[in-house]
Amino acid sequence: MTTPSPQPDQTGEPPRIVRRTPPGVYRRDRIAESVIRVGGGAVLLTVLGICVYLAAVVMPLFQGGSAEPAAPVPIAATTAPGAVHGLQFDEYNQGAVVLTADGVLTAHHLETGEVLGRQQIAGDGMVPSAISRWGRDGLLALGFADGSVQTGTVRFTSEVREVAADELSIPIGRSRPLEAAGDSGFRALIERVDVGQVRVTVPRIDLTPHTMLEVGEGAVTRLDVFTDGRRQTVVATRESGPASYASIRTITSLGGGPPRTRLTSYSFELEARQTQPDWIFVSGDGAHVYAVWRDGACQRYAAPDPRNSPIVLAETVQLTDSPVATATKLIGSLTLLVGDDVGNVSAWFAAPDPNAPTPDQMHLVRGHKIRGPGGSIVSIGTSWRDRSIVVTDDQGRALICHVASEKRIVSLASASGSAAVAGAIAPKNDAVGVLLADGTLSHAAYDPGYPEITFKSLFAPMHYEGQSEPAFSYQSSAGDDAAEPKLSLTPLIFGTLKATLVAMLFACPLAVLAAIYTSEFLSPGVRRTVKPAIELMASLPSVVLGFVAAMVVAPIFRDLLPGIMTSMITVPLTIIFGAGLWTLVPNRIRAGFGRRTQFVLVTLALAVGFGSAWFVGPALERTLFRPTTSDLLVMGGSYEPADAGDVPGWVGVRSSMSPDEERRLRQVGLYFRDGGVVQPVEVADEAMAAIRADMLEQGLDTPSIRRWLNGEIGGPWPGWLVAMLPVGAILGMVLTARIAALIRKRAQYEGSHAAEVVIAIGQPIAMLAFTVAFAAVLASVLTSMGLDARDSIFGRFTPRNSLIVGVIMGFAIIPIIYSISEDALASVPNNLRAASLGSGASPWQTAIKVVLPVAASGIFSASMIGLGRAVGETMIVLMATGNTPTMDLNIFEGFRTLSANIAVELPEAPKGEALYRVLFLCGLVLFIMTFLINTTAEIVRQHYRKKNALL
Amino acid sequence: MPTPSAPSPTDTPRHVRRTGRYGRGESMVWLLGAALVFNIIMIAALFGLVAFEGLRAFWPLPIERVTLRSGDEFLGVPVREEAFEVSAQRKRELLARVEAGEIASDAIASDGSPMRRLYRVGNRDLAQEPFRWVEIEDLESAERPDEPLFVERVEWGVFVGFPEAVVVQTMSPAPLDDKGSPVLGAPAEEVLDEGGTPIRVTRQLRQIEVEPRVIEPFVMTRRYVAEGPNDSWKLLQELMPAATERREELRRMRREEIGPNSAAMTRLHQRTVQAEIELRRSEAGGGGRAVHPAVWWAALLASVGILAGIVMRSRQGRNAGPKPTAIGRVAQRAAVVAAAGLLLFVWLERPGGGTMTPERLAEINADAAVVQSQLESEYAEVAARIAALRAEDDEYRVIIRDPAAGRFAPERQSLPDEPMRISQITRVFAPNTLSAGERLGLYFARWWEFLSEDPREANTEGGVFPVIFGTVLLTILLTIVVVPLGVLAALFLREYAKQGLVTSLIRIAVNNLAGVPSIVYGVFGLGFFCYTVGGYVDAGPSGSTQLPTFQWWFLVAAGLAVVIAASSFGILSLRRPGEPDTPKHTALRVTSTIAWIAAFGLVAAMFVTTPYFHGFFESRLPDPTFGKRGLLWASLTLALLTLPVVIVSTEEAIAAVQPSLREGSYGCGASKWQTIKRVVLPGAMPGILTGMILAMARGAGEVAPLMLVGALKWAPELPISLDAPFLHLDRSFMHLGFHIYDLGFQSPDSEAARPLVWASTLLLIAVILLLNLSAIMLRARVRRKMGSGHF
Repeated sequence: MTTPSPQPDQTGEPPRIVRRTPPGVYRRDRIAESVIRVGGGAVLLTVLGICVYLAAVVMPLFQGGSAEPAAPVPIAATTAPGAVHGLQFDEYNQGAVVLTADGVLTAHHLETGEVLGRQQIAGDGMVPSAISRWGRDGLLALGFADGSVQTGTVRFTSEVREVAADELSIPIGRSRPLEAAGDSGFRALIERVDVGQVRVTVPRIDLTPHTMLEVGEGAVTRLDVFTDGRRQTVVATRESGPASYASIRTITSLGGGPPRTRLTSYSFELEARQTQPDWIFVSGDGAHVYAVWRDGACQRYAAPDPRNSPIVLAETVQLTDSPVATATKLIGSLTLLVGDDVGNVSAWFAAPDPNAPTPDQMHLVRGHKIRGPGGSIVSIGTSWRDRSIVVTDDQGRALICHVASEKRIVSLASASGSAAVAGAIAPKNDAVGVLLADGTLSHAAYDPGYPEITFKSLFAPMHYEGQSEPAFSYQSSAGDDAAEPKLSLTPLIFGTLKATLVAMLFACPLAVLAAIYTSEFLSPGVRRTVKPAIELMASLPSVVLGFVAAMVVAPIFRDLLPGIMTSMITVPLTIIFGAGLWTLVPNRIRAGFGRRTQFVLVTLALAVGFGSAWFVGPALERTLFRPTTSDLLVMGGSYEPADAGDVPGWVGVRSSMSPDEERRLRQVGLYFRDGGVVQPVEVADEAMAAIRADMLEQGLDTPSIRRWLNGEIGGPWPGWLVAMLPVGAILGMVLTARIAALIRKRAQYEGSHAAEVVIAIGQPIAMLAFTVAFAAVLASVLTSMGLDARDSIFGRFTPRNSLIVGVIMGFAIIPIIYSISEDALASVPNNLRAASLGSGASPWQTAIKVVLPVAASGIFSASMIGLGRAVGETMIVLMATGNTPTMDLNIFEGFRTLSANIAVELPEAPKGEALYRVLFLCGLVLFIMTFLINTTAEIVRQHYRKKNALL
Repeated sequence: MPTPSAPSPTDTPRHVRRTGRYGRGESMVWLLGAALVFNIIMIAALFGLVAFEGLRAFWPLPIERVTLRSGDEFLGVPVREEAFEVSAQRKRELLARVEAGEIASDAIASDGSPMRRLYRVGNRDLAQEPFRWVEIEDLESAERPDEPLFVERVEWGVFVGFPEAVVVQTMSPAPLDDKGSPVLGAPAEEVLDEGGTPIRVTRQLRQIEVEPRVIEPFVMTRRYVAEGPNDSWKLLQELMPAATERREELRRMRREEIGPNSAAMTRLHQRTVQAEIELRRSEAGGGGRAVHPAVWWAALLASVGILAGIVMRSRQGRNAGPKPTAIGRVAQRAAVVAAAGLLLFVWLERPGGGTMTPERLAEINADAAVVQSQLESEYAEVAARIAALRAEDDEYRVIIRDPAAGRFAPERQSLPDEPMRISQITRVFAPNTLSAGERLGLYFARWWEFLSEDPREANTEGGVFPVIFGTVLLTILLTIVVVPLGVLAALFLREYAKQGLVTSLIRIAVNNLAGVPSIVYGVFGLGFFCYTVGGYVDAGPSGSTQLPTFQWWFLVAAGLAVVIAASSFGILSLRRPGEPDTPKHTALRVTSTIAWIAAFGLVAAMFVTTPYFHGFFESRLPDPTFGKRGLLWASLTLALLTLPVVIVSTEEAIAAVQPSLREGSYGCGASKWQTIKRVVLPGAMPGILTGMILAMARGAGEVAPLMLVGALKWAPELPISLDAPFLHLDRSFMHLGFHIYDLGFQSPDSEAARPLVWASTLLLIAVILLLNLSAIMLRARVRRKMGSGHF
């Protein structure tokens, strides 16, 4: 500042000459004010804008699609309902081809409807007797009266070339047909794509030579095809005789000449029904053949391996109650789509079901039922890119919807109201066309948005293809267009909450107890060093904690699991025991020692507690988690087939069993061996000893908590015992405290030293006894109820598990909770303490009955802030878990949190795609979660501040 | 604080319930204490672990010659030992064998599990695992002979072996015999006597690819200037400094002479590409003059006129005259804003701006060609010098043999017959003969290398200099951004904003933002900074949002009008001294605020829709320059992340400045800004500094957002270099935290990386603890100062 400003006068006398404030001062004041106002306001707005920006990126996910219909164009082709077999567009939406049921292919210019050519698809005079569904990339198969079939593709091809002089008149982005027809018999379309470039698009028919089916007699009546890239598999029915399942391979000889086909065929008998099926389909993996009748019946034939096992009828399912109007396959050819007369579309697929009474243990299940555009359904067209379909009805309406998410993307209605005989989605999913019975073709460019994402698909269980029932799944990496991305956020939110819960269970008591001790029982001098030391921990980068968790803590937990679990019981017991012993020391001696001695003694007690856990843990493992006698018997080979009556119903007929199912079976004393259910056979003592020795030799008789967790050995009781210990401990503590109080009451007036000795020594012992007894009783009750802890809180052991994350993340949040709690406790006015102590309360009573209630809200808000931190912690979770998005309660299993999911997937997610936006949604969910938690904490803190101000 | 047993008065009245002689709740107090002790122990253990592992990471360990019972023999550095899990049966067997004296007692742990030892055997280029577990019971003997060398190399990691010979290897074109086939022309092996010492010389015919696909015969002469372990080791030590110098010189030449050359080449190319793009745009009709020249001239004149008016008016105002009325001030503001708009128009529509003609393009191309040929000749000259030095370097080689594989360390894995060049060695020592002092020296030399060198071999060797550099630069940049913004926001909140519901809501929001997970900031940074803002900087507004020129100017005019309106309402809402606050004033103030927000929106819209801006890095597209992860965006993201920290601590500090000081300042007639500048800010400075240091510490330790917005496992170039613009904010960088994550979890050779991870961890913790400690100390000092009533 260069201009002189008024200086305060030191003398106190008013200066004689008042200098006028130079105008620069005002100007600078104004400038500073506007800079600070505008800048500061903008900074705050920007900070608050984060949420808005995240929401703006997420928003498009929940918006529907949009369409821009063009005026319908008349086309001169047969468009009677039933006569049209299919409709297709080129990739650039310039032309359309219509295939009629008699095998005539007509190509049109989309803009004008002008006919580009018309020809019999299989060559002149060859009228196919059956045409398959027109599938992805134009794949289809033709069947003929002589029993031959052809497979191949019918689609547009295009190439870009330099513009010719006479084409310069075409405006950029428009097209016109060529005058003369090319080799394919169709006139090509010329589209001007750039100043100097045109694209030539022409329909093209590529068919293999005729191949005679070896199975059945007469004309081919129905057929379907799928390809795995190298060969085509055709399933066909004939006028009489068995149906054929044929694999056709086309061989182009190197020396030129026409291509030949090689056929491998298998036959299967269609089970008797009055009529031939109206549709026949083969699934995209070749493992199922579906025969569908107009009345809604469907027979599924299992063809898992036609080379080695015959194709047999697996099941008959009623697909719809009302007559079927049309049926087709979804992209990937695993899902069957059936449209009925009352306007519904159902999606069916085969899903593995161990309980299914079918030979392949699969079951045809209905995954989705979608309401069509309104009227009776006429046709269903499928997308080549995703699970979108276009459904048309008899009133000229069309609806584009997504099968997996059941999202209705766009609906279109025609002015004329005549039936919409065919609908098709353009190859690039950017346009839709509907052919009406009045001979017009309406075409609409549309933007699908994010059809696979709905609120439901993100948060509710979804029935994905190949699953027997709806489930929450998160699997973002889809191999190709046919694979479904599964983007349920629920497992991620579950993982976040699980991590947070375990961390809070660990951190909250430790931090709050330590804070109470620091504030109430520690001398100010020690407190001044202890508190910053713990606070320093808060600044420790989480990447370091994560690294230590994965590199050091995880192996320790893996190796010392029994000891660590035991220490949770032995350490508190030892400390209580130690405290009891200490109280036995007469007051006058104790008074001679300060707090520092207590510190040392507590440390000692801790060491003793951990030390005893080190020894007791393995011993407990040896007694609790070892193979039972029946385990040993079965392992030793002494078993017989189980009585049929004993076998639980869910087992059914099966050749294999998952470890979890085996464990369930073992709970009722049965085992699964060599493909059957068996029961152990008691043997004589010597034989038993031999088995034991033998098992010992093989290392199978070793007790191991990890094998127990994996479900290989042992029953549910020990698990429940361990799980119930905390419950037992609480019950035991309450009970022993009552008893101690009773004893004290009786001894009070005598001031009996003996009573105190009994209490001091007896209480911990009694507590231990009660704890174990309660836990054992509870465990027996739960076991007899047929429950197993390994189905819920325990289970398969993975080295990087929730427990480790909980402990390490606990460490990350302990300093926060500790520091804020301690502040809250320290800010409790001292006169309260003085009053309490003065009234004769012990420091413990003062702390727990006077100080803690006043500081409770502060401690609560500290915990909330810790919680908020745990929810968003990224690096620890990322490094210390396996990051599998599972949803189970098992504390020895990993999980994936929202934050880790972002860190894992966002660097690779392509900008603007559904996954990218879903990851932004993860961020937004995290933002909202922490914002809510922190706001709660803040409100509580403000409240208690006000309240405490009155004290 | 009284002791717990204190309240037990001896002479209590009978009828009062006595407190027992025995401290009530003692056990609970013990539990509380145990929680604290447990926390402290765990913290101490954690820091101790990191310190121990980090400090011992570079301690030179001895090499053992290990003989196994199976007869296998190898050289290796023992790294660590551990017990491993086996069946109970096996344990019993082992125990029995120990009791029988068959194996040593240290082969099993206390619980009977067998022990195993990890040896670092190196020699990855001889196709072996660089680490090897050996069960102690299999061990026949492990001795420490004097000779083996521990060789750290530029590539392929560590080599452990015996020195065998030092050779000088020369190549000469092979003479041809009369049939045209190459011959040796001298005995294949002979012993020459040079200066009294016999030197063995071998010759070999070699087919060498002199140019791609041109193979010529050479005679390779190898002179064994030292043979045997002792002589070789001695000579190797003598030759090492010169070899290191050659390596450094080669590296320097590649980096400092070739690097700028190719950078210049790229820039040249981009200039021509840019010219071509501009030509295409000119021909397509964009970027040229949108208005008639007469309009432009009129605008120029008008803007000059208004500016002159403003200047004259302000001169008048400065001298004397009555205070301008509100209307006058509004008019003044309007004139300034209009002039700014006109100037913008004049500049954007300047004649010749943004137009490119074919002639000009040809000119640019011709210029480029001249510069290019110059650059090419410079390049050739440097390349020749490099080749000469490289040829000299090629002569000095050392044979170090791995006895287990029976092969020596090769120059390359694909050239197993060529011994490695001495310059390929970065450090070599005989660990078993080191004295304590040498060991210590080596230890510190390795630390120095760690701190000062670039990483090698997928970061598992070498140092972390670029990592430290990146971390420090990032922290500095984020501090530069966050401190002014945070102080500005805090000043606004404390000094200017009206305290009320809105400000307390904002305050809660800011507090909460401190608790928003860092990864969320990363997501925001990636989406907003990298893709949205970065994309704009690269390529300008996207085609779909660009407006036609005329409409855009309409938008600009609207924006300027709103600015004028907002500012006028603001002026009109000011009260005269003494005038009471009426609803009219409030309404005007609110309108002004709304108008300002609208003006902000319009200005943002102007940027998003301008047809004049096509990005600063159009010529590099489709490769993004700023539209990707980079230093700038990372530091902005972290600045946003740490903003609440600075705002909160600054606000607290401002609030703590005693009101009497402020009132004194006002009482002396100081303006608000003068008070803030001279009284409030200096008083709050320690608090601001604390906030700054805390922000730095938080920023330096964050990893999650950096994974999304810019940190890479390996950034080839430092963000600061000698070529313009010196500070490359678009570049990616390396970061200590991310380095730890990457080394610990993504490393191809995690065992080799382990010491480096621990050392990096120690480094990171040290930096952050230092920052935090200084913040804590600063805070304590300030509190003391404030508490003692400095003023």
